[in-house]
Amino acid sequence: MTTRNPLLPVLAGLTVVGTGLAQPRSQTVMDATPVKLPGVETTLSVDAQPSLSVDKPGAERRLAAVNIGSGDWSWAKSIRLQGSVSGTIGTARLAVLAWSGESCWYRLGTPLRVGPEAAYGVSLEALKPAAFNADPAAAVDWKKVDQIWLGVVLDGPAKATLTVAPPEITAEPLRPTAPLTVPLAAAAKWNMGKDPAVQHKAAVVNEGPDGAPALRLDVTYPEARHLYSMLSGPIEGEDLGSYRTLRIRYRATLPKGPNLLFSLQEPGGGQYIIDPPPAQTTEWKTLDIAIADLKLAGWTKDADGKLSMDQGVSLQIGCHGTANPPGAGSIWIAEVCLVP
Amino acid sequence: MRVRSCWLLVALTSALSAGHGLTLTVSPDGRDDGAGNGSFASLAGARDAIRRLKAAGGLTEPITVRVAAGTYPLTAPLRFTPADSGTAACPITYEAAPGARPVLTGGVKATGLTVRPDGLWQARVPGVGADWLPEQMYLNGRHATRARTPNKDYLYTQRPAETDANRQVYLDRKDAQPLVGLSPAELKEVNLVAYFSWESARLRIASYSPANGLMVATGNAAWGLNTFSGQTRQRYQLENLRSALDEPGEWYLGRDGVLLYQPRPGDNPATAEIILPKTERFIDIAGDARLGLSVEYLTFRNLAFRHAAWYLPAGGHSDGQAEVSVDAAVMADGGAHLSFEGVEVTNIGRYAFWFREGCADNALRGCLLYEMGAGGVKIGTGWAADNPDELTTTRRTVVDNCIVQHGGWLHHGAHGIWIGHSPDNQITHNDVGDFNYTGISAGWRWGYGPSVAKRNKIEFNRIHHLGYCVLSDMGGVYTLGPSEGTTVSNNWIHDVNDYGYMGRGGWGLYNDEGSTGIVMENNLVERTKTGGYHLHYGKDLTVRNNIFSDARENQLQHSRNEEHHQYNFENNIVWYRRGDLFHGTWTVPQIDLARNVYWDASGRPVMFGNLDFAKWMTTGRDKDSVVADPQFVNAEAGDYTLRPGSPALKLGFKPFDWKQAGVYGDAAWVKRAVTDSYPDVVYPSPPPPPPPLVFDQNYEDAALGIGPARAQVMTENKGDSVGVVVEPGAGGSAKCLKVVDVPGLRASYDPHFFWDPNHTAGNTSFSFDIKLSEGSLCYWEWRGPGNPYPTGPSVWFRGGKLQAGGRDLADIPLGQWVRVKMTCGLGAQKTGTWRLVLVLPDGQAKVFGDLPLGPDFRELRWLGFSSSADANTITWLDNLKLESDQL
Repeated sequence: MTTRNPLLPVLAGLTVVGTGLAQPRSQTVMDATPVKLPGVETTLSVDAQPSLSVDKPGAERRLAAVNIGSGDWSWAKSIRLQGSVSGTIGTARLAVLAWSGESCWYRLGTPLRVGPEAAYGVSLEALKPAAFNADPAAAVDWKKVDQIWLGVVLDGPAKATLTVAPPEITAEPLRPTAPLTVPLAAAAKWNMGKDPAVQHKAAVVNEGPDGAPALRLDVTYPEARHLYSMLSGPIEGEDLGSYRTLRIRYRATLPKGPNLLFSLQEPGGGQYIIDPPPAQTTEWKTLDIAIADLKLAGWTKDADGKLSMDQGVSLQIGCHGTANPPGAGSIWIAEVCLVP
Repeated sequence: MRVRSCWLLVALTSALSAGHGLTLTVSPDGRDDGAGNGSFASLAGARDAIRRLKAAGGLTEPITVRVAAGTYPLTAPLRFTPADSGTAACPITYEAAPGARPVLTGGVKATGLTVRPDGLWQARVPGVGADWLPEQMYLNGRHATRARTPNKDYLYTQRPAETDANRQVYLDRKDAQPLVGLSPAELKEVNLVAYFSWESARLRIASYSPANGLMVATGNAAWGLNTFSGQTRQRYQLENLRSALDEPGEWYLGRDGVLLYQPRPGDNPATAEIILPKTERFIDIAGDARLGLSVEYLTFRNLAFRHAAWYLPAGGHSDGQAEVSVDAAVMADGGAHLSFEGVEVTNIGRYAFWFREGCADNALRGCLLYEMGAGGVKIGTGWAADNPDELTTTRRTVVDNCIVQHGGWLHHGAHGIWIGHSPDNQITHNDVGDFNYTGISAGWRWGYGPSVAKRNKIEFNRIHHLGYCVLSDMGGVYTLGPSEGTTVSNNWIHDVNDYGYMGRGGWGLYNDEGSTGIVMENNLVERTKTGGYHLHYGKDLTVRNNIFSDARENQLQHSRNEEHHQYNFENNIVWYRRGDLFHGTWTVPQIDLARNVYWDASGRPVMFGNLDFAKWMTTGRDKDSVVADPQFVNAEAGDYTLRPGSPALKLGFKPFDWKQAGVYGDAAWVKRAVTDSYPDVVYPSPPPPPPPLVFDQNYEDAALGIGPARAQVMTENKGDSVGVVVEPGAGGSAKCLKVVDVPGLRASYDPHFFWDPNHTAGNTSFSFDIKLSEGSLCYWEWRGPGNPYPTGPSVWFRGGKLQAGGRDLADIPLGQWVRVKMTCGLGAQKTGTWRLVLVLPDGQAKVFGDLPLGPDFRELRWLGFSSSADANTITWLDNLKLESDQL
């Protein structure tokens, strides 16, 4: 039998801020119960300052979590907490899970780092369905949520203590404050989608502005017919839906005919492109394109015709078209990022 | 609710066995609702009880669910979520009671079997109607064939549709006669099974036009329906037609629920058990590895899962390769430490197991996977993008000591065992046999892009009876992409036969595109059709200490040369009695051969391509190898034991016992793996020639850059090209066809293009406009069938002159359009001469009516143009017209 342990026995409870509306603007977590989950020992301490200790010997991914109750949190946009981490923790990300029976919706949040007190948060917007939900298309219905877990997804061995101030559930959305940069070295190793006739090479070279590193794509279009080539890989990060702009700093020298292709693609296949295509330039150019202005490519389909960043997207960098005459060219990318 | 809970506690308490964990029982006379004898009626009931027990206090000891003998209907998949997990200390086991073989079935039994006066069996299938129509049927455990035409061999498409070539095609109206008169609803229930090179598709028919033979499917195939890589008239069959029920072993079931079956000799209605699957899957393992919430520490032991259905979607079904989207009767996502031991999965229309996303440390041991519409086991994901997250990539799966036999009869491109994006798996000691495509495959990356499919171990498997001349481009073991650390060793591969007319290849060991870092050693490969080993292209491979025996066409194949080191081929024995040793180019520096033994037991000299051994050795590519009898004890009878004194031993060959490949354990299990018989291979007839081709092409509406319509265009991508351009055409038109030649091409006849006109009778004419540049050297040529082929009417443009029949006919002005018409009688209309009309730029016509024709030329099977200059030249063509008075 799991026992309920008060996380914050003396702290003020419900806090309603401001407007006289029925819905609260913020709420403080009152108590919590450790969830017994395999592969990790989770203990709560309510001594001088509440703390959560995790002991996970294995290398596999595991979830350590506390049950923080239930309720209609449809008004809430995020959970935030202040805390410090001591010990060893590997890779750890804050997580929130809302359960309705055997179905679960979740978000992963800020990575935790060993060190002094810092602010952490996880969004409650656009919760993702767990893979094991019986109806994978169903969205969370907060009125039916019977458990809410706040936890940490742990990769690698961990033996650590998280000392926390009371978590706050708030109507304030969690917004990124800095651009999310795609590492060029990772992008150089992405999958190359291309027509078999195309010769294509990607590498990071010191040919960016002032000799800075840049991703260089060399392509050869040997035939005068429509060909394509593009690097494609995932944009790693959370809350992608919070970013508003795709920024690319680039230059290119392509054969006559093909257009540059920068696009974002949903996991379901809908590929959203810049239309008309970005201008080719041999000088460095920074392109800021509103994500809302991207257009569904004619060669893909998307049931709702709308780019949904929340479920994750992949980025494509390349070109396509008919090179006439056939020839070779290059694209240099000095920076690619999502801007809030 | 309270009563049920109390009962549950009583049941669980009474089931407690101190020191051995908790044991629950499931029996056919049990009850899941709390009443009865304390046993549950189903595995689902036991699972739910364990879930409640865990919620009440967690797992404190191992739990065993013991299933009594009997048959348990499965009307929905058994679903396990993280809430159903065991732990390392307290695993949960679902197992057969000692000595029992409980059967969990997703099928419905046909009832009321009678034998009609016409000999057909008739039965009723309960529940069939508007909402349910079974698509597979099993008679006494073996699948029957849904009524189809033709019963053997294939029909062939007639010609491509003008648009949507993957969805529509013209059929020969005689062949498609069974479709005439069917209602739209009936048409959609017919399966058009299309066969490509290495895949097949199942399509539903949206419409068929008896007027012109155009068939339109409800969805796209992954490949063109008429043409594959320039070859035309692909194969198909029509399935699920009442009118096609005309062959022993076929069945047909209408929505009225009446099942008809034409019995085979030996079928006995008194002992027949006919079952039609209804439930699609047996088990769903539903964890979420992204969250670290796996379904784990579950064991399934000695249970038999039978009869899982597969239903053709409304839009049809087609995969590009490996039936990669077909799911399995046992699906696992986010599963860890799952063990299937002695489990039977049979009579299914799909794959048996798929450890798909986020699975780790799972195992199949001693399982029987049998009679599968698709294949045995899939590991990892396929088309989805690479998963960059190592901890959610499916990994470390063990498939050991399993029998994986008789599959791919519904989804022909399915594999026995398939590894996609997944590392560190062990496929060992399995018996994989009777598939229409590859036995075991590892890797899912075409070329050298990043791949996680590394360190996979494929060892000690017996892999046999593959292909059956149904599909092409397959291997006993097939690899794709970078796979560093992967080993393919000590396997025994035999009887691999490809179709060979659309694409090619039934090989034993097959390193396909980008295979890298793989070691293949100590394998015995026997009786393949196109070779014991094939490298398409790859890098840093090792092929060592293998025995390649008696392939039918070639023993070894090397396809693409690359600039980097491709492989070491050393200490191998190649023994054969038929076919040639090599296919492809082997005298390249990217291959290192050494210490091999080659022997043609038919007595012919061993030829290394066109080189004899002495000349071969002067290439320096093959160090210390010999042509010598390896001195097997009896290779003809399959005994490859080397006699003392074998030259292979002297060169360092290390003997291995190929009989160690395959399953192991108790004698009955081993016998079970090897006792099935397999049908003889019937080498198919070639597809019929394409219908006679006529065309009239002026390029005014053609897209820029493309070659002439319906022609195969061959260039070397070195600046040579054939394509439509916006440049003045003949008669003042805006576009024409431009042929660019450059110096230094590998083949003097490149660039070139050609059609397969297939004109066999009547008078055929081919006319064209042509404009030459300085140095143009080109020709049009007609050819007949065969090798060597007879040459028919031909014209050369050389040095500013038109030449034919061995003489100069006229001067051709450079940079100006002239028109040529070539006419020749074919078949019975052959006269011994042909006629040429040349129209010069000033309109003057010159007629040459008596040009000599070779005695063997009777049919036009090849019509081509070649630019043969070894220089920078341009030739323009326009208004190409091929016509026949027979069409």
